[in-house]
Amino acid sequence: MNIEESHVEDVRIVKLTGKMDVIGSRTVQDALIPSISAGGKLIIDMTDCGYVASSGLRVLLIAAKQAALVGCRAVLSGVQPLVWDVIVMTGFEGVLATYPTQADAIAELG
Amino acid sequence: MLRVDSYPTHEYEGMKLRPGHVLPFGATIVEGGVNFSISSSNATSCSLALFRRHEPEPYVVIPFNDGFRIGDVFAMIVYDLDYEDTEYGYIFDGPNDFTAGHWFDPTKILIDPYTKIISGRGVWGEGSQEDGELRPLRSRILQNDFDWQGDAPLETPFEDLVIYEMHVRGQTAHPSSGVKYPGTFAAVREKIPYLKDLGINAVELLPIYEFDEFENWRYSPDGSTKLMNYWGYSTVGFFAPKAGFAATGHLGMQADEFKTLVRDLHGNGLEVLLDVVFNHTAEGNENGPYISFRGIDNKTYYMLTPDGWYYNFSGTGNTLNCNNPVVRNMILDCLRYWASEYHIDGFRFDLASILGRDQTGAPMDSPPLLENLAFDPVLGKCKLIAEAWDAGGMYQVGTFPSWGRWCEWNGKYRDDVRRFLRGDPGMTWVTAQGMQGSPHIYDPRYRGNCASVNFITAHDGFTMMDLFTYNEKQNLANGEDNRDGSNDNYSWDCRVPGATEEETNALRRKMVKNALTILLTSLGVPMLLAGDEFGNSQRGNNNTYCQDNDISWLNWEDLERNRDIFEYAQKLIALRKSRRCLRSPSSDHGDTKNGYPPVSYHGVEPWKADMNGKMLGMMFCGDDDFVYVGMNMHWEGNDFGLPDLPGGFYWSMYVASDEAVTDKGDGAVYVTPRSTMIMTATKDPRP
Repeated sequence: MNIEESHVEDVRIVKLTGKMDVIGSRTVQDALIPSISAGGKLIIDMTDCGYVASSGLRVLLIAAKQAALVGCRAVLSGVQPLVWDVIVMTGFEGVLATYPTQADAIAELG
Repeated sequence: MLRVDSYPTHEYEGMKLRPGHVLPFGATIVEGGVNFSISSSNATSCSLALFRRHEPEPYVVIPFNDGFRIGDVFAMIVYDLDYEDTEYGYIFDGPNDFTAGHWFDPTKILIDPYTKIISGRGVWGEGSQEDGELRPLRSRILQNDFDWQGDAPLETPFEDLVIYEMHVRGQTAHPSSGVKYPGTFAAVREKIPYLKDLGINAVELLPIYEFDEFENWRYSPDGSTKLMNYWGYSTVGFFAPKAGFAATGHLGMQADEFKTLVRDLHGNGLEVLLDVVFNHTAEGNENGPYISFRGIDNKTYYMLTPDGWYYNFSGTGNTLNCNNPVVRNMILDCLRYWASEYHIDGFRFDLASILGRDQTGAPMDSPPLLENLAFDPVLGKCKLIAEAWDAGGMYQVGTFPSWGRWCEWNGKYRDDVRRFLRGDPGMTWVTAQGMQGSPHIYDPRYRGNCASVNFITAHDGFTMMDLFTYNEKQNLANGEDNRDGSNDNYSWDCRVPGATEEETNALRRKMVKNALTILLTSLGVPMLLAGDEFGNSQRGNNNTYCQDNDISWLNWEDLERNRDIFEYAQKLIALRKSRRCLRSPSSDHGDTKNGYPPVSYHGVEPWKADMNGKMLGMMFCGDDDFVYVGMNMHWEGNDFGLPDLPGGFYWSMYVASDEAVTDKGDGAVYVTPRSTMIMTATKDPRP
């Protein structure tokens, strides 16, 4: 799992590349969760993440809960169709707002 | 805060370990590791085999050393496990002595009886490895932290339920279902709007505990298809949802997918009841495979003859030793788990009479297991429904130990109503009893008004349309020379001498509506078989346990073809929901405020029932609420006189199974041959 961070103005973009299996998910969790901060804006870009295991879904869910707790606006972008199906079928779809592309997400948060 | 027990105390082949917690049983994620706990009363040793996913050989086999054993329980924490990539199994050693009932074999790798998910059948029907062998069934570790988003079991009053009995796969596996992932929990979720539209408020799911669809598989007689273990009344893991029923089963997310379905069913006002099979397991008879229980503690888990053979009260080769205290606790733990972790609203117990047999198979007066379940606090609001018979000759409809908690599938109702419907003489009295909750079987003083789950059809037997299409079962496709399945169907093919094919088919549809009328106006709890609401047929097969194909799958094209039946069912369910007098009789409190009995029988003349005829009128009364059901099962039409109503109330026709049924307006209704009709009255002025 490769994690690339960037900023567009005050929006923090975390781009995930690779598989969110147990190891990948742990990497994402360590990089993502502690830095979710009050008043922040966060895009989790999943364009290049083709596999999300149960642990990966849980990291996304925990990110959403943490963001809601501290008052950070967190969204997903670029979720691949098969990954999205898994998110829907396991009941996570209402947890984070989702946008087709990173640009759409920036437009929403910016 | 860090815990002391997050640090290992032992090491074995590079694996870091610590003596575990004996409870809970199963594999539980703890700080830094996984706690494994399992018991065996007769084993001499136990080892834990850990596999990486899909790998044939374990990467390590860790013996439980003496310090890891308390009483008969082996417990150990293993640290730093990649739990998503781990499969596990147990190896037990001990005596191997058939007569003594011990089957220990240290070459077998066994499933944990408490495992929460199982791998090996992640996609329905795809169990083969590269060499063509079936994949081994292995235990897996589940992270039990579903986000319920405020959901809780619904606790719908029992008398308000309208149950819909459904096979998860059969509901949507047919291409006509129009869902994205046919045959899955996710697909049932897609059909929730349909279920709501129909009006039912509880689904009863055929077994969803992990089973092996390849158990005893074979080719059909004509070689065209595989006959599978389709119904799944053969449990592999009591705590694990069937992975092959989940579109995400190949990812090991079946628990989340099923919980999502439960959450959304609840969100739409539908309860979830599970058909659970605790009478036997998938290990079969003496020739069956080692899967779990047999190799862990055969003598504890199974009822054995004094010579060590399996008792076969289930008709499937073995009988779970339900009233052994260890097994009893497992069943209780299991139901508590489903009630609490899956928010399940109730359970229907397959061949439940076995749960009342002692360890020698003898029926007990107050079976401790059934009593435990009746009074268990976690199950305190769960519906408990017994299939009150077994394959060993016990038939307890009406006498199943209940403690005021258990109710029963009413097999007598099914048979009596079927015979009345097809026009057998002398069935009016028993039908009238059945329509008031069968007080002749269930004394309301002890069993309340809802001891009877009323059904005319269920998965086991003809569908409603087939009930009126075939005189005999048509089970050749099952490959058993038509010997399997019940011969006592009380069915009728609706062929009347001289009738055209069109007339015959019209009569069949009407008979289905007649059956729906009786089912959905009877006191007690109605259970509708999925598909009957749109005339589903199984081509006369009354035992589709092995038919994973369009014989048993619902064909959704029938919904359009038989739209009239669907709308009729919808209307009946709506009536039941809107009329309290059809759900909960006030007979405990005597007559209604207008002086009418809550339930009364009538013949073609009001208040004059003919208890030996083929015509029956039933009137249900609440305080300001009247429903009259007229049933003419004779081959000739007849006028039905309606009972007089108090001032200000007027009868009006709510629905009839035949358009030619006519309200004559003079207090009588002409009911055509083999037809039913429902009149209702409220205080509204006559329209």
